[in-house]
Amino acid sequence: MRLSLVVLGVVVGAAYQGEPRAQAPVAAGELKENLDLPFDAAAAIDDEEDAPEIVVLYGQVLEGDGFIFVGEGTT
Amino acid sequence: MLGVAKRRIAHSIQELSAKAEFAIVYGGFPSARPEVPAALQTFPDHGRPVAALEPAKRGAEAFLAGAPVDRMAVLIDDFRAALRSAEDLAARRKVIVYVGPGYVHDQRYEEALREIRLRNTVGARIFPIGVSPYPEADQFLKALAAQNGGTYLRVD
Repeated sequence: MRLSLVVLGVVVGAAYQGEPRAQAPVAAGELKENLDLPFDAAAAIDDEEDAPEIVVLYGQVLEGDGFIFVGEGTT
Repeated sequence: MLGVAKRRIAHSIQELSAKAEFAIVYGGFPSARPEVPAALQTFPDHGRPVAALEPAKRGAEAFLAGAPVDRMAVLIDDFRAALRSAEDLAARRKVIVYVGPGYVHDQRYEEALREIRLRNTVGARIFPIGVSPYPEADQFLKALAAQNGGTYLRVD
């Protein structure tokens, strides 16, 4: 009888895994380990555009870096 | 009116920073060949754009001061020269500004539009400013802007 109870206890214990565990948040320490990159590891952002020149001609606002002006002496 | 235009162009060039590049194409100079109605001149002489440094700005001012305002120009020739200059711009954002009456020799407006569009291989944005244009020229300049990424302004 005692043996049967022991066997039953083992079987039930093996079958019962307890309450389903909620997804435990990743510990901050683990994250840090993955992200602990050198301070200068980021690629330099060197493709930032310079602001264009702004030319105002007859109130027309023109933005660019290179300008070809075409004039005509026609009356 | 075109005398005013010259001064306004000169003023705009004076305001450019040294980072900008520019060139000037000016049509309507007297032609040495009787069969050609007008000659164009460029600043600088070689037609290639230069940085907007003080000596270049002074040169441009003198060039414009000597440019005529009472002669027939050949618009398509002016644009051919302007588009060649635009190809030499190192700048990424290329702008062509036209100031004039927009008259096309022999009324070949459609041909001129097609040729300019095809020659504009560098994607320069064209901003025409029509100075008292005739109705046909007005329509032409409007289409020129629309087909080349610019906007049109009419002044009278």
